[in-house]
Amino acid sequence: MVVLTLHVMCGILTAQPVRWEVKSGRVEFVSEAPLEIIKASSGAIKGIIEADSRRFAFSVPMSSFEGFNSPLQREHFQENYLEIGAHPDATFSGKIIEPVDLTEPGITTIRAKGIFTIHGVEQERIIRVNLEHSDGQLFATCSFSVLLSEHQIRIPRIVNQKIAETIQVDLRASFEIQEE
Amino acid sequence: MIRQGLLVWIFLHATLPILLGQDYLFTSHSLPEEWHSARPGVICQDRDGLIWLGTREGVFRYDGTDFVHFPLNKEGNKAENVTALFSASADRLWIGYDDGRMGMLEGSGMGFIEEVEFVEGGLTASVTGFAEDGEGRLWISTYGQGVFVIHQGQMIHFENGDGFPDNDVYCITADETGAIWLGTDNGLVHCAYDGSTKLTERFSESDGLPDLIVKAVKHDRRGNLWIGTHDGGICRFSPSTHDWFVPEASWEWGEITAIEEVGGQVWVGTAHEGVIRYERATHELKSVAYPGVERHQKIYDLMLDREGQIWLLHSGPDMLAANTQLMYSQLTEDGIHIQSVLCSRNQTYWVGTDHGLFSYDVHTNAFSRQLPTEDLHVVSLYEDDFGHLWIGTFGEGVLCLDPESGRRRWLKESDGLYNESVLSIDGHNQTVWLATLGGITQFDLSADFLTKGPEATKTFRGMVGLGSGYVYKVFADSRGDIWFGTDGDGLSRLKNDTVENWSFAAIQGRDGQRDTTPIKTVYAITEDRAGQIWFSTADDEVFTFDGQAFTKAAIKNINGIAGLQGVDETHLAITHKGGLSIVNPATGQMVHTGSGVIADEFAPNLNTTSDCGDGCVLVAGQKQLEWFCPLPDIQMEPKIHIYTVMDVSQPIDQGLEKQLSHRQNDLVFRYTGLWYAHPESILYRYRLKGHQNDWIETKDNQAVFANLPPGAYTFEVAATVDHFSGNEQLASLEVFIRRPIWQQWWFITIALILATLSIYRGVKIREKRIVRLNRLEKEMAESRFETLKSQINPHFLFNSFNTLIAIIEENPALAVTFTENLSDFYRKILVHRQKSLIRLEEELELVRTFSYLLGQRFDSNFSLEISGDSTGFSVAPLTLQMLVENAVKHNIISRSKPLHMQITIDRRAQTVEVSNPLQKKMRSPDSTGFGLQNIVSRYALLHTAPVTIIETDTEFRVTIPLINTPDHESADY
Repeated sequence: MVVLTLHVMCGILTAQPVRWEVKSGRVEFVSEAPLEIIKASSGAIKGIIEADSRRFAFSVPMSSFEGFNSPLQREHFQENYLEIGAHPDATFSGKIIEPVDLTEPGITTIRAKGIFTIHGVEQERIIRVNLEHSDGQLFATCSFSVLLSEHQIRIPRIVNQKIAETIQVDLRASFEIQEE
Repeated sequence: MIRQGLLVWIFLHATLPILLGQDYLFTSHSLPEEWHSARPGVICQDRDGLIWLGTREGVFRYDGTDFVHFPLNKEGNKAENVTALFSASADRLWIGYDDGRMGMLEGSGMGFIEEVEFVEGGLTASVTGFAEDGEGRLWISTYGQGVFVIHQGQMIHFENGDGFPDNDVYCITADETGAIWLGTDNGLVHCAYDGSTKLTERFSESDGLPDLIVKAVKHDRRGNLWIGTHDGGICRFSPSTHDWFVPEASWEWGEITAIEEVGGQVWVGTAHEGVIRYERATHELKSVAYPGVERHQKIYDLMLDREGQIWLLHSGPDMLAANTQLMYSQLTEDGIHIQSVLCSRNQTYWVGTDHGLFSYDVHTNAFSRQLPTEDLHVVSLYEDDFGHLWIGTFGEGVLCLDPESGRRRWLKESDGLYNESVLSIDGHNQTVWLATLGGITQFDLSADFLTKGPEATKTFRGMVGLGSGYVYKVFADSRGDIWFGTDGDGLSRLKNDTVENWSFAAIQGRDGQRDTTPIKTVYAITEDRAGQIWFSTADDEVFTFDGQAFTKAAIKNINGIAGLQGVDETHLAITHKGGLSIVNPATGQMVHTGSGVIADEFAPNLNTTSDCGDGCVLVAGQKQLEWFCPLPDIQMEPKIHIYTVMDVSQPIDQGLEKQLSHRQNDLVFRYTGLWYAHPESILYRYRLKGHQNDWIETKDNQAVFANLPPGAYTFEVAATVDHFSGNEQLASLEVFIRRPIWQQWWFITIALILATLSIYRGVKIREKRIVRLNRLEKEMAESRFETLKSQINPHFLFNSFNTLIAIIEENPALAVTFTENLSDFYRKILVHRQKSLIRLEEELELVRTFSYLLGQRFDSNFSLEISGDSTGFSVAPLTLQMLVENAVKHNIISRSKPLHMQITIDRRAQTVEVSNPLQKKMRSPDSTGFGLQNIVSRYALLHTAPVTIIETDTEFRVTIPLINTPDHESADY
């Protein structure tokens, strides 16, 4: 899906576009429930930002998340709640609201508006992102929350004291200009 | 007990507020149970005043009591997520759906929404709004496909690329001048189309927008746009001057979803924080409290209706509506009752109770105790020219207080006060009048009177018009005249140092005669903005004084009137047992606003109204405060709307101009009074002019008229919430029941013409027949004459007598028979000649008799043979006899040439043929030729087949047509 989006983007691109590609990144989520705090993270984030059109696309395989408090918990999370068999990736693609020049060095805060998909359920989100462009690298950090009910992720009643209704997500990524 | 010397003046703020801060009173409106999951997301009010709701399950019309579902297209289905509603000109309602479909509803009587497809294949993006520009063109905004305008039937598309900044359009509105404004992710956008060029103008953060993402735009009466953004709160933009204004107070409530300007305030709906109110006067942002929901509420839409109510569509199960003209505050502690209120010039609200004095702080939205004692019984409050507060108590005199410095001074009987129970205080310039239980004291003030004490310059007591001295109300009007409301002696006025009294008022009598009514105890006095004095009595009557005379105002059904307060040109507040009522002094229209936040009686005390000077009045009941700030152009009475007229259960097509057939005469008129504030208190009155001209009052929202005779009728209906003043707006509907077809003029005309024609024709036919009969008669007469003539022909008689002589001796018996036959022959001729038809048998009988007579004369030389069945036929009388006679007359009869005649009846051809061999006499006897001619013409008159005469060399043959004789009828004509 994301690959397809990337291909479509490639098709649109014209003379020497600047595209930032994720070189390394980490997504971490935290569930702070009354009875338990669960943390997990993944470094398998992929994504690009196109400087001209200010469009972006990100993807992370849900199976790549590590952490959790036990392997059994991880299995439950991935297979029962997120159903990664049917919905393997979480994606976020859209456009940057602010008219920033991504080729100029500097620190700025932008809002990324796009379709956030997890568990196969799409939600339009506007997410605030801090961008730092220096030394030919682009660093992005942001944090946002995901309401499980908005994505039809159902948690059995018996464990809802252990899993928060709102999951806090933090993302850090560094980008490099994609070489043709 | 408060002792003057013991009081320490510290402004204490009570730790527990006993009066809650200002709030709006919300009423809840819920869709019926079966539509519970529909959840309204958009709301609009059409030009008729009806409210329309767009939900996840289609469109609903709401009239305050009933919700009616309007599906898209006839079939409809549940997946109709309505995302836009717009009441356009020409009585059209536009509906947009999240799947790009659009629908239109014309009028409000049809049962479903018609889908409209402007673009082939339709849109795919969600429709977010509609607007109508200055030229009446419809604009459509979408979330994903930009904006469209319908220009001369063509869809002009504004989309990303041609200068249009962003295809995701959140909202669309037309400003006062008809210019189109959009909210997008890329700022505020102005769009125009001149027929050939698309114009797009964009305003971003660099222009003054607090945030690039514009989520809500509405215009106000001044032509400004109010803009709600995603992160930056609200701002105001003037399209004419391009001025931007962003409130100083920082925005802390996140994403905005809806915005609505209401008088001096802006209501802002947010995605997570409910409703925030921006007050223009104070530049403050305040969260609006509304009942029944937790925090973090999403607001889907806001709408100000024509009654001044704001509607909230939120994520809760119901819709909420509040009258934005009214704010309430509630007294929470038992045993305390509000006795007096005062709005001071610095916008401080003072509340005097039977347990002390309180004041309201606008900034903290809280009340606090202002005197360190609970025992002070404050019955009257007044602010003088110097800004000092006069606190009138029951039994303890007056406390004068400077709220700034805290300095104060008690005024007691020793200071010249008549009595220490001070019921009312008012003043003009530097003079203050105090109404006490003993009389009136006038004080002249100086700036330092708090230290020196005021000078009691005059007292009024026991004077004409002031009675016992009990004065309930003192009121200084704008001219400086002082009015006193007395206990039992009417109204008095102090003007130029003289007191004038009115104890009678003129009223309009029943028969138009002017009458008078006594004025006794006066409780409340005020002045409207036209300078007219109003006062009310203990008997709940309200009078106006126009400078010359008093007139009784047409105010009915109000009990326990305690206060009157002029607000502005069109509003006068009346507080009474049941709450607050607003009267339009010019028209007499009155609307009751309800009893407030407490379900119990409002039951106000005297002195509980105060003019706040900013267009608002503060009034109070025993346990609550109410601020009334009228908005301009607000509907003051229910709006009446006729839905439809039905013939029993069959709706009558709206387009038929109400021309009904005579069978459609059982009519049901359905109507509704739109008064969303109190739909349950709607009262109707109706009449059907042309049938029943008297008004009928009812709570029913339909009127039934059965078995109406044909004619023209006008149905008129009015609605009110209180009582009918006669000034109500009327809705009317004309119907015309046609006469049945046989009562239509054209039918009667045609019928008359047809009748005339048929009578004329009948007369004509009769005339013809008479002519014919006359001719027949004449022919018959001629025939009879000829027959007679021929039968008394001397030849026949001579021949017959010769025959008789010849046989009389030889054979007397034969002679007798012959004579009998001769006589019989003549008798038959005499009988038959009168008739026009005789039976064939009778004719043949005659012919046989004739033949016998001839046979006697010619012996065997003459013979006649008759063959065929003669029954059932008729002939003209003497026809055959005449033919036989003719044959005898013209032919030789001798031994050598006997004459054998034959009469043959042909039943099939229905003829009788008389034939004889032709053996003409050389010299024909004088023939008139009448015989044959007579037969031919008689038959022609009888309308039969023609008589044919065939004469060959050897034979003469005449064929006579036979006429059928009905069995039972005689052949008599």
